[in-house]
Amino acid sequence: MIGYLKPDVNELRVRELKLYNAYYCGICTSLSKKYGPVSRLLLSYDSTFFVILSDALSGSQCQFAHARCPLPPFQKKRIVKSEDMRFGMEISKFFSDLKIDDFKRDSKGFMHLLSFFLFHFKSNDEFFRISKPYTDRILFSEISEESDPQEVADLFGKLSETMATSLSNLKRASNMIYLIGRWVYLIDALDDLEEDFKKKNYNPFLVKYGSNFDDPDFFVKIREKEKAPIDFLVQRIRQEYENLKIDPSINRNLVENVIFYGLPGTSTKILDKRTMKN
Amino acid sequence: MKDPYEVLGVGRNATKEEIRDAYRELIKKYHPDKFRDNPDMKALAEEKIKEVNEAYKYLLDHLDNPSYGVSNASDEDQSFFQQARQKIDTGDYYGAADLLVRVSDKSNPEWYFLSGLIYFRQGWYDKAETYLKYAHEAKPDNKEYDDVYKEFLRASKRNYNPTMNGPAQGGGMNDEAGACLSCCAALACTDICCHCMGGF
Repeated sequence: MIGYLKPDVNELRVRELKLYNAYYCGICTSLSKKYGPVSRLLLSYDSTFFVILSDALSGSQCQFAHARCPLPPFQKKRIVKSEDMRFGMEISKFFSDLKIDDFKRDSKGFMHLLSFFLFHFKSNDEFFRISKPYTDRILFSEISEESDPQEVADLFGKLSETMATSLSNLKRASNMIYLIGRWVYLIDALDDLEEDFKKKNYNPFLVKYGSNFDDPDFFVKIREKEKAPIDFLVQRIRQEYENLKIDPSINRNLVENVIFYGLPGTSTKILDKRTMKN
Repeated sequence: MKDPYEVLGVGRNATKEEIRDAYRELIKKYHPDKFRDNPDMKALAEEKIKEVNEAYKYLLDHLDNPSYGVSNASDEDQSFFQQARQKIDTGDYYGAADLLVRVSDKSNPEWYFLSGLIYFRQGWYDKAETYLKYAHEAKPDNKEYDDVYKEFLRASKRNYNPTMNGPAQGGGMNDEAGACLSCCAALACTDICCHCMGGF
């Protein structure tokens, strides 16, 4: 399970958690139906968040159904059936395809083969068409070693916005989704500093802060310096959320949980991360 | 809406030589021949080169007759600013940015202010700060520039302090929250006293 837009479970009511899980299982089940059982592994928190947000914005009532899940195999789980589920599934697939592309470029040897073997199928063509200008630019930034993380984050923000607004319910929230995309990119880059450094992958923060690699606290220092921009971004996401003025519903509580507790929590967790001793 | 200085990555008081060196460096970095294998990437490199060329040309033209903050915006620019403002108000930041690209005099504080405002809304911390600060310093008595700059500093959890450039301070007992806290503490103490005296 991948993604950064997680809820803070400690802050959820039990029925909210149940609903969240029903959404989660709903996307998982539809992924499995369309792309085969292995694709269940591609399920992400991010896509779950977008589907919940979409339902919160449209104020639609949830329809429930039951489905079988391999974990545990004999119990049926309650899932949400919704129009937007298909979108959540496709976006989940699409972003993980991007991750796989990334993975294939970066890694060498048998891992490369493994990833190719598992994920040789491509997701929705429409998504690839509308995202191409942005994915190309992101790739270009990587090749030309762009040194400003904010520039690349901007591209990723636009990419997320374009993807999400292909669902009409989410159009109203486009500015917030752009900001969330930005945040996801920056947080992901900050999270992977050590790994990217070891594997010599492109990471805009490593280019930005250059040299000084002998300093054992180098990564900690980068994270400290980037704290202010991230805090600012989280603050902006909240402001945009408040502009949306969503009607009260359980879905709204879930969205608020992710934005007010999950997002800042994840930021703090990553920014305070200490470098592990090898 | 890119600032030519920013495209070339030089400071605002860079000399002609520095600008030329930065230009050559960038042309080398984005040379399309480097991306020969991939036509998509080559096209993007050409785009970048075009942007760098434009910025370089703009700076060379304007270096000899600097007009920073002095000249008034032309009527055409003024109408672009007006439209850009409306777009920002409705949340259409891309539309506003497109309009700002078309402004011919990119040294006007209003241009910096509106660009800064877009960066602010889009969550670009460092750029928002540079642009808004620049506009604020160019016209310190403009109330709107001042307000937005303050709003930015509040959002980035730093205290507004126009005279000192020190690190952010605050969180003590002297600000609003502090006053509230000390009031609370006093009430709590009173409450405890009430109990021990046998009150409610």
